Amino acid sequence: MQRKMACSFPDEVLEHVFSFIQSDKDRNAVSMVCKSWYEIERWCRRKIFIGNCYAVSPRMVIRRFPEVRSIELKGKPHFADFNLVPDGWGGYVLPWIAEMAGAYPWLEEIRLKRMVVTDECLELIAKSFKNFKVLVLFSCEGCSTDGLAAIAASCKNLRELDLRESDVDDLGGHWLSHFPETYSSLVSLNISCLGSDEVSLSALERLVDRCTNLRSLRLNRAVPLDKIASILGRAPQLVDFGTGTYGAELQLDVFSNLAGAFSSCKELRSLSGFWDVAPAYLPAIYPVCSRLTSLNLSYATIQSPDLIKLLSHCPSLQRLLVLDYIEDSGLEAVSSSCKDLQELRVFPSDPFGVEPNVSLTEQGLVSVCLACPKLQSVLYFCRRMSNEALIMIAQNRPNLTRFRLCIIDPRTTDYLTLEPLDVGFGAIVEHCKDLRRLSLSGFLTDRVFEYIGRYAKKLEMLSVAFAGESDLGLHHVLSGCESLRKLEIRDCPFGDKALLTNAAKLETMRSLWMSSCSVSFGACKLLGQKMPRLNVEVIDESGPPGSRLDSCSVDKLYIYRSVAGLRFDIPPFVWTMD
Amino acid sequence: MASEKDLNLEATELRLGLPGTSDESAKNQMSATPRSNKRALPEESMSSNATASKNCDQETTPHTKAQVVGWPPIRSYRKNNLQPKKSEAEPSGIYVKVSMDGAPYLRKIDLKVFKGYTELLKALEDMFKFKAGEYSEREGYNGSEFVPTYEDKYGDWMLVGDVPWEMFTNSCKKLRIMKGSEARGLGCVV
Repeated sequence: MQRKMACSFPDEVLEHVFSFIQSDKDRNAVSMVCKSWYEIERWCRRKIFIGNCYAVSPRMVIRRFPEVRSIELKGKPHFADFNLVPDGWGGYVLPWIAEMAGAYPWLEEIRLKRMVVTDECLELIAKSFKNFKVLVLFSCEGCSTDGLAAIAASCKNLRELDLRESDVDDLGGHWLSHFPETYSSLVSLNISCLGSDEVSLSALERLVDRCTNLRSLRLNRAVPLDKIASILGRAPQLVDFGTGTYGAELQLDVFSNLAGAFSSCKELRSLSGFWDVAPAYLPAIYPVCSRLTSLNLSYATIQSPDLIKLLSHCPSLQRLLVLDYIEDSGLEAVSSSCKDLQELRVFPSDPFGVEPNVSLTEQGLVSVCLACPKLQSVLYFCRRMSNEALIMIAQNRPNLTRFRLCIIDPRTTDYLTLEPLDVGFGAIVEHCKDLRRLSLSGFLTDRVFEYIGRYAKKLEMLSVAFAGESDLGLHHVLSGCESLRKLEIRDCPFGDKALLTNAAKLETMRSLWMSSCSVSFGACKLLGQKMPRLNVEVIDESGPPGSRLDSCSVDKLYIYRSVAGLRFDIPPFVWTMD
Repeated sequence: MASEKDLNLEATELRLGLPGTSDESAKNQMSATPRSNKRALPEESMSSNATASKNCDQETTPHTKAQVVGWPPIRSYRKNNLQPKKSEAEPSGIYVKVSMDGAPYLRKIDLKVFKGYTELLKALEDMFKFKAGEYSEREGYNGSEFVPTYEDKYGDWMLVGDVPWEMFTNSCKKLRIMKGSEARGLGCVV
């Protein structure tokens, strides 16, 4: 009798129960209970997330999950964002689209990050999926507005087209006219990355007009300020809006139209864009400021006094992205006006300058961390830091989950004591027990890694640059960080020993990137041979690493676990070790 | 908990050498000297982390730093969106794709390294092994079936050489060396 318990429900009932289980982790757990649950679950899984497109092949995914409606894929390693991965490395989505075109005719959603998406891919999507609804290209490249035109023309049920931070060849604004006049289901459109000076304003306005469910609209720089009022007037139901250029000569009628248009957007909670800002036009958004939860001013070259005035109107702010023009004084003001702040990102206005151009130091970060009780996520670029500041942040903000600090000059010491910043970052990992993501900078010895290995038990992603003294540093991280999934390292004296000793750990992680370190070619070969389920890829643009001695260091190394075997789209400058 | 220094890596390690030999390499790792907060001349280069940076006299410090690839970690579109005047800080030049009709793959060149059209054309001729012919404003490129063209930022295909060099480098998105009959429409007299 007991043996039958697990199977005593009909399949349809189990399937119905499983439909309430959305998270991948839980779904995976369900599928491991017994064979029949595995079978039922795989037939009713609708959503798939693949964190590394080379970890598994399209065929394998399709074989196991025949009824997928939504897929998310990630391609290149994160350091590709900073030009460390050469062009042509990979991350091509075409093979996936080609296979899914046949296997998933009812696919509705495709979300891609750091992948190469060509116009051919977009045309194939437009042709193959009759009920296609969502296309998100996050930091992708390889397509043009011609491909977008194909999507616009064919996808009658398209809800979301989001090109955030992607590199799309903008051939002019005419692609927008490819949305048929009968098309009206758009809910979210993000074209902020399109770089052409041309945009078809009339096509845009007509589109906005007929898409009455539009909730999120992010325009590109080509849309002038004086057009905003007319666009907002057609979409007062917007929740999220990104302006185009926000600068022009001050004209009172333009200003009052703009302010009026913003006031009638009662649902507006999020603003972004603000290229080429003319400070005189900022007060036009004051009517919506009190309701704003998210504000991205990271392209707005406005000085601290204007920023302070603006932010003092935003008591509900949860997410703030800003340039370091805000200075310590501005962040002090934020810490008293924005008590609900959860995420802060401060970007450098002059990253390559030798002398600081603004008065932004560790003090700004400290004041926000001390005064904003809900702060969880920090990305901060600055030029000096102290252990004292880091310890204060750690002790007062133990709820931090993401802490990314970039002290612009590599290997900068504590400016007060001239010591390494080991103890400061050590305090962060010790006190912030739920820390999931950490980026280090400044002068750091092996000691900081000892702390990280000891305390950072929930850490999933770690970024390291110009730090450490020996293999012991890397060993601490690999042997201590139980939850580690992604590790990216550049310019650190880490070599073979730690890597080979912890080879098994690498199979529990998604990926490891090491560039300009001291890993030898011989060690890479050994690792590749010993660990069949790891793909060990050496990237070297100067020629075959095999032509040099085994003891030579490799330039760049990317290791990831995979059940798909070696990839077949390897470019000439990548060598796989097997 | 045993001190980290007592870590017995040997028992579990995968080694390159024969069993019984020991490896002192971990102790010989270069340690980078710390940078106090003074502005020193960084000797960073992509392939080397073995240099110990020295503190220079302040007088010899240049007003812009030597660039390290990918540092600070900021996405390119962010750098491009700041005040446009700061272009000299960019380590990468103006890279454009170059295609030639009939060639199996494209190349990329940096327009910044050329001072003018003569140098550019010479480089293209070397790269693709062709000769471009004589340029004249009236007739375009005379005497060759190859014509250098470029796509400007408005998507139009233009003849290389018509506009001042600066204007060209600012608006050129990609280059294409047209060949034969297609080239005739742009004024090539063959």
